[in-house]
Amino acid sequence: MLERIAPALLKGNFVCETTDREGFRWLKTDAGQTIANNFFTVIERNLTQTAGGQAFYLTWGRPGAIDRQEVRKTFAQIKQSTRPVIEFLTLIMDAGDPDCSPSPGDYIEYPALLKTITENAALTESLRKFSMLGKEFAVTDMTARAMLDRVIDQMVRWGYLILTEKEGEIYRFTGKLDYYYEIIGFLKENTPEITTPEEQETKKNQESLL
Amino acid sequence: MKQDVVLLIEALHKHREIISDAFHQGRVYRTEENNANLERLHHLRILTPDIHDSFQLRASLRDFLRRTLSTDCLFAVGQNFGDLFRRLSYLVDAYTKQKQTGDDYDTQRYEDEICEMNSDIADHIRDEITGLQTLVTTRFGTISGVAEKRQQNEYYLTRARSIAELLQAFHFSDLAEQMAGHLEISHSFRRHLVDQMPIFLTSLSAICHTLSQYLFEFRTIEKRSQLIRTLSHHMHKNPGWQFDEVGERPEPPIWLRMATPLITQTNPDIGFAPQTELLAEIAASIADGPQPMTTRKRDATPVKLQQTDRHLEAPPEPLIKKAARKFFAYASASTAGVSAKQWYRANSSRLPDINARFWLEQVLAHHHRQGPKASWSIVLHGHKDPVFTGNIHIADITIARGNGYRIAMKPQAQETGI
Repeated sequence: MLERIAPALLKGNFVCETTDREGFRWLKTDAGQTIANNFFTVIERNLTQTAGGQAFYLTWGRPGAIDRQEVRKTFAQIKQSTRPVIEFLTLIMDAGDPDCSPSPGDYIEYPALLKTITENAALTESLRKFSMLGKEFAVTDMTARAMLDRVIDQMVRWGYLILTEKEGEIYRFTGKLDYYYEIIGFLKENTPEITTPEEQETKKNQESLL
Repeated sequence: MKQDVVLLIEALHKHREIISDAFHQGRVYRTEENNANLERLHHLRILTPDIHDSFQLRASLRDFLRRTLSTDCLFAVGQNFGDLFRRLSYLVDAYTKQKQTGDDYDTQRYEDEICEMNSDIADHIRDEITGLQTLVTTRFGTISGVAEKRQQNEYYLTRARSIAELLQAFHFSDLAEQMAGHLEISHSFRRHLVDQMPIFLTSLSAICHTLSQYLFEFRTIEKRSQLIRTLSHHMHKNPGWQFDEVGERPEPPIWLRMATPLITQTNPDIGFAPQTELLAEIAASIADGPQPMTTRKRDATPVKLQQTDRHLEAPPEPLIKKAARKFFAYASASTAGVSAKQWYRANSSRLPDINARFWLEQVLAHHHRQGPKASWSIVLHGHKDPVFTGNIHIADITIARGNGYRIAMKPQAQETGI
């Protein structure tokens, strides 16, 4: 199994139930993890699990000092994708279940999504705003289909979605979404100005008491 | 009779909005607009009067809708297993008593009832498990909203656990012992319930495990949804907001230490004997690639140069160079040497726009171009720069035809020079 998983992980991919069910389940076993770790340690890498346990990926395993340049590079990539992915998840929630954030393994039926967006002016407007989030989302054709294609393509390129059924145009969220949730969870915890409505309410109450 | 059904369904269709509201909200309140319709539905026994001048759906219709729409979570569903087991226990007791009295007719009747009851209980358990499994498989797919799903999940988890506990308690009860002496009922009991019990318990345990996981997931999904909404709201409110430089922390979080992707490329080892044959096969199966492009050299076509009578004229010699040449020609006749500055002063009228400094530079350059073979003797009159000691200020230059290349320097007071 390692010979199949190792190249994927080394390429920077996330191994999860959606991308490689067997490989993921093998990595979940103690024996699989030991074999994989022994292999990756030799090339100064560690097998790491996302906080929610939905995917595996590789981290630096160099002993001693942290390679700042590598960290900065990763951070720049994350920074670039934070806002568009939030907007995409919001769009998916608004088009489906507003209270239900997508989970790794969830499906997106492209035709149904496109229909919902086309029939809802607010969603079309949300989709249009993607073009302002970077050149990756810029389109010359401003139809809902062209814009949605661009957004979906970029999410596939970033590794958050994979096309599982070409004919039915069905996409699935990958385990990398779990990695993303870990990042935004960290972001929320470490940015005091980002507060939930409940936290804002509590703060107001405390202020009024004082 | 047939017409009654049609009328009822028509009424249901006509007042579907009211019925839907009564179902989802629990009751509908009487208003001036809906008063007549409510009374009509009450008359058809679709609604029943409730407190505070309101109406609610009749229980039968409410149950029907709940079952059809699978939203009957908070109310009893399936069979009450406790009652069924109590009934079985009662039948076994009655059967034993009748057997002792020797009433064959009643004994047979109880025996049949016990056998039926064993089968009924097993069927009901199976139905219950199948229903739960369907809900688990579809992840409460017919129910919208995470909060509602979570509530249903909690209910079914409690229910599955209660049934499992009940079955375990039943399994160890003395019913089996009571039936032990009676072939027919003990056989039925064993076949329908005792032998099936491990399967039932395993299925229920799996359902409980999955429902517990879902419960955790639903809670996580709710939290995450709130997080996404909060961040989205924050980003819209602050368009220029940027992620803090987390990468500069002494201990960056683990997700920031993601290893850079590695691009690997391998080549076949053609010297590795066991694979030579395979590689040859692969090589033979590869279609010929496009032919390499051949380029034909074009024959060199001789370019005919047309001769013309015109000849190229050399640009005229600059005045300063001409003057330097003349100065050196003049100096060649003198063995004592000629001062460049004096010659310049004497010929200044013929050298307009050329200052003394530029003239001295040109003399030096001309001397340099002639080189040592020309055997000029040159004496520089000047002084060293007080600050930039590697430089000298030249006030005048004396040129004479000498026996060898010689540069001498004579100190002189500060004067305009180079």
